[in-house]
Amino acid sequence: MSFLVRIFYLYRRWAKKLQLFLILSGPGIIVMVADNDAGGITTYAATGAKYGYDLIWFLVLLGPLAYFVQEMTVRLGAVTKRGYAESIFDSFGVRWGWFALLDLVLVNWLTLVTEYIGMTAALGVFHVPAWITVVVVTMIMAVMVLQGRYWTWEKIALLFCALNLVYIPCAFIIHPPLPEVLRGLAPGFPGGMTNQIFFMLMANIGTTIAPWMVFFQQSAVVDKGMQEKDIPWERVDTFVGSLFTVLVAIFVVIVTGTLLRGVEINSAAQASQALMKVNHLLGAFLAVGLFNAGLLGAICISLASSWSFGEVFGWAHSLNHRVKEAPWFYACYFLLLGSAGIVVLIPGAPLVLITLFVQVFAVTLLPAALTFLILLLNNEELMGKYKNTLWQNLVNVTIVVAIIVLSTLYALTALFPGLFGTAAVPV
Amino acid sequence: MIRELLALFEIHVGSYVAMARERIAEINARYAVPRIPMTPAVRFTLTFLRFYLFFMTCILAYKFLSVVL
Repeated sequence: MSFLVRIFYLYRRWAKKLQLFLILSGPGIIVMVADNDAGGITTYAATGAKYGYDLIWFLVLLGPLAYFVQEMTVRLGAVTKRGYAESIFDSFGVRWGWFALLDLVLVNWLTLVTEYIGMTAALGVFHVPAWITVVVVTMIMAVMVLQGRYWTWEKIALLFCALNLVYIPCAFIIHPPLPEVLRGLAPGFPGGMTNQIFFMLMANIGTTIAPWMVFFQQSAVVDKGMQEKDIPWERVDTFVGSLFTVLVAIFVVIVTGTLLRGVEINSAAQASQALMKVNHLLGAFLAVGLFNAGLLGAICISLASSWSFGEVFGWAHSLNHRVKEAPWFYACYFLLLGSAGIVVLIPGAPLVLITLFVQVFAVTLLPAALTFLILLLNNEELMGKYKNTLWQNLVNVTIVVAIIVLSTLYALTALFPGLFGTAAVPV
Repeated sequence: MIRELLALFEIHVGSYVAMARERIAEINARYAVPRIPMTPAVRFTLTFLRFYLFFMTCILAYKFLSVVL
């Protein structure tokens, strides 16, 4: 009897923990899954098509990399109760503050344009006109924020995150050779460490950490009202998100590595069309996944900018506020969305150039954003007992330095394609 | 009629610009002094960042000029 009682209490304890996790989870999973945006899916598709399963091991490494960086934003947000933009202004003064805010808005706007490009291209596979895609997407995003509750917005975003897992059943449909896929987990460089492979690795790192992710998660943690005691739960949330992001990346690589090996991929929409010739259902899944990836990216990026402006200008800036209570916050949100959508519809707009400049401008902000993060997390006055430990500093500084070096090399390669004897950036 | 509309527009835009300038001045005053202790490590890191950003700006300017010219 006592055994049954013990089992019952154990079940109750774990059920309560799960319940609590479901209530508190959100920002981590959303930011990590949204990280696999339209550009990310394109990069993974190109990686699989070019190198098959050989670089799966590298994608596995990207999970911890993203986790450690984002975990710092969780602690900073929960302890300071301030967004990242406000934290930079407060700790580093107005010069660094304005630089970070304006650069963030510029990078985010350019990234938003690329998300719209991805979404219109994805639905273009089904012959949906671009203007319909832009209007529908903007309406979906408007409905998501205008209902007036952070909780509802988060749950809808999580639903889109679940849709991002569409690539997993895709991989099971095609029955990839399991031993070969497992061999991809062993570190190695197919054909040696060539410039081409180095470029592909840099592209994968470039899509894993973006400046908006740092700003977004910290603001989301604050908007959700998380406290210091919630940090362990938000860590689990971020960890689960990083697992999802790696899983999606791996399964995209498996799909394109199995069916499109040797095909030169320049965009995920092109990969969808190529897949449709092999398997119509898979091509359609990939296109839907690409659309969803772009939508998730757009949702998070537009909010990251609006939150940051709200924090610095002192406007009401919570999704729990109605439009009347936070007019500037929503005006900023819709201005970003509307202008990015319109640019995609302009005939002859320099979309390829915009995609190129996203990568380059991101590299002007990313090192600053990550360096500020490390410095803030080492400020005892600000963080108290939540400041970085020696071990955390070792890991985080190593990651940040690696990201800065590799993303800078990636941006230089994007600007000067022949610099390291590499090809053009996949768009 | 058009002149009146333009005047009205000017007043509204003018008031918004004035409001924005006031707000920016307020922000500049509020965050004028950085709160992070300027230890040698922080000073070194921020100096390094300045050089890095200067380098990236030069590269971007070079690329832009080489494309335009």
